[in-house]
Amino acid sequence: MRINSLSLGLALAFAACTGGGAFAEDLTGTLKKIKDNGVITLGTRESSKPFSYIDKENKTVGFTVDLCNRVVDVIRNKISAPDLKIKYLTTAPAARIPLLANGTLDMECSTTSITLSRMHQVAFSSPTFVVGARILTKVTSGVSNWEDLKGKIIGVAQGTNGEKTVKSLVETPAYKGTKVITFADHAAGLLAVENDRVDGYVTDDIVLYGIKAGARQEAELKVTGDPLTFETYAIVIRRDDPDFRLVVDTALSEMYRSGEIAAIYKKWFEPLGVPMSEANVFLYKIAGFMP
Amino acid sequence: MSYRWNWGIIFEQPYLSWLLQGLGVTVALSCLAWAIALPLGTLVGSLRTGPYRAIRLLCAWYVQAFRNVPLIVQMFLWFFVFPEVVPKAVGFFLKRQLPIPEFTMGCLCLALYTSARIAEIIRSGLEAAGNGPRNAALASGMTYYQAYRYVLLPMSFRLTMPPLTSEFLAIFKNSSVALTIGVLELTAQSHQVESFTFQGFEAFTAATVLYALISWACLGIAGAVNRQLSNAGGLGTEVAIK
Repeated sequence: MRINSLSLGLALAFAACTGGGAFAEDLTGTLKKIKDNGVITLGTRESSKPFSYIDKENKTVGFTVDLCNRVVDVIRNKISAPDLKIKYLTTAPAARIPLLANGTLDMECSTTSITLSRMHQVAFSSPTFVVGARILTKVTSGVSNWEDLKGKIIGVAQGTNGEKTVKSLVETPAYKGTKVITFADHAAGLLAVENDRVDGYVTDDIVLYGIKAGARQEAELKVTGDPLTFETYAIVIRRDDPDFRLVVDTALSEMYRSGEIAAIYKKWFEPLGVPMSEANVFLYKIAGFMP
Repeated sequence: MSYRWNWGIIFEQPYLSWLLQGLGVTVALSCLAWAIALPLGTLVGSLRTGPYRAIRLLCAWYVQAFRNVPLIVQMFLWFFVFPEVVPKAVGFFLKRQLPIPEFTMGCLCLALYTSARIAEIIRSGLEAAGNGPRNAALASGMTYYQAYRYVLLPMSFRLTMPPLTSEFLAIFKNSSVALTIGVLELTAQSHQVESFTFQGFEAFTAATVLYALISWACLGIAGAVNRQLSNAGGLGTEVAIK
C-alpha cells in the first residue's frame, strides 16, 4: 500500500509539474494487478439464484454476475486491456474474505449485504439490490403478516440479519410463546414449511421468491408480510483501494443512469414474477450518480 | 495478503457471548449424548457376545446401520424424515411440541451413532478378554448377567480405555455436524461471527482453541478414570489379561 500511495503521489507531483496537461495515469492496486495478469477473478456462488449460480450448462450466471460483467467491460476500457479475461471462482461464503484478502478474488459477485462491521474488513461498491425480510408460508396457513405469527413457530436462516431481527421480535411481550428455529440452508427451511414444522420461514424476500419458484408445490406457497428489515446487496472488493472502487462505482452508476439496469432486472426477476420493488426503483435513481 | 487482523473482536459483545453460548451448547449436547451412548453401547456390545443368536444378529444389524450411515445423513433423517414416517400424532408431537426440537433430535442422533461405535469397542474388549474368564465365571455358578457385570465388563472397560477416550474426544467434534439441522453450537456460532464481522480467522481460531481446551479437559477426566480403574481391586490392565 505504501508503494502504491508513493507512486500515486509521484504521479500527482508529475501531473502538477506538467501543468496537469496529459495526465499519464499510473495504475494502482487491483487495477494494476489485473492489467499485469490479464485476468480478473470474480467470486460467485453455486446456488444463489437468481443472483449468482451455476446453470444447467455449467456456466456461472445471474443478476449480480451480469452487473459484474458490465463492470469488467468498463475496466477493460479504463486500463486499455481489451483482452482482459474473466475467471469465475465458485466460493463458499466462509471462504470469500480470505480469498479476497490474499488476492485470489478481485470482486465478489453474489448476495453479500453491506454492514458497517463488515466495512472494517472489506469495501463495498454502490448498492446493487435492496431486499426486505418477509415470510414464506403455506397459502392455507392463515398467516398474512407478522401479527399472525404470534405464538406460532418461525423458521429463520442462520447467520442473516433477519434471524437477529426475528429473535428480538419474539422477545417482545406481544410475541410471548413464539418459537424460533434456525436452519442452516434454505432447502431445509423450505422443507420445514412444506412439512408444517414451522408456520413461516423468514429471510430476504427475493430469496423467498427464488425458493418458492423451485418448490415442488409452488402454488401452495406464498410470500407475505411487510418487510421487517431492509438490507442492501453490493459487490465486495478489497478495502483501501479507492481507484478500483471508483471504476466499479462509475460502471454501476452508468448502468443505473442509462436505464440498462431495467433490462438486466427484467431478465432475471421477471421469470420469478417479481416486478421491480419500490425500494429498488429509488435505489437505482439515487445511486445513478452524475458523471 | 490484505487481511486486517482484529483479535479484539472475539472479546467484543455480542460476539463473545455467541461463542460462549456455542461452547455451552457443544458441551451440553456432547455430554448428554455420551450419557446415553455409553450405557446403550455397553448393552449392545455385551449382547453381541451373549448367548442368544437372534439377539446377537439384531445387535449386529444395529451396529451396521448406525455405524455405516454418515452422521450428517443420520442427522437429516432423524430431523426431517423420521417425523414423516411415524404415525401422524407422533410426527405432529415431534415437529410442533417437542421442546428445542433441533437439540433433542441432534442429541439423540449423536447418541445412537456413538453407541454403535462404543458397542464395537466394548465387544472387542470382551473378545480380547477371551473365553477363559467367561467359562470360569459361568462354571462358578454365576448367571450371564453376573458374569458380565462382575467379571467380563470390568475387564473390557480396562482394556478399552484408550479407544473409549478417543471416542469421548470424537463426540465433541462430531457434535458440530448438528449445525446442519440448526443447532447453534460452537462451530455454527463461529460461522455466525464470521458472517457478521468478516473476521473469520479470529472466529475460527477462537473455536479451535475452545475445542482444544475441551479435548484437554476430556483427556484429564479420562486419565483420572483410567487410574481409578487400574487401582480397583489391585488389578491393572496387564493383570486382567493374564
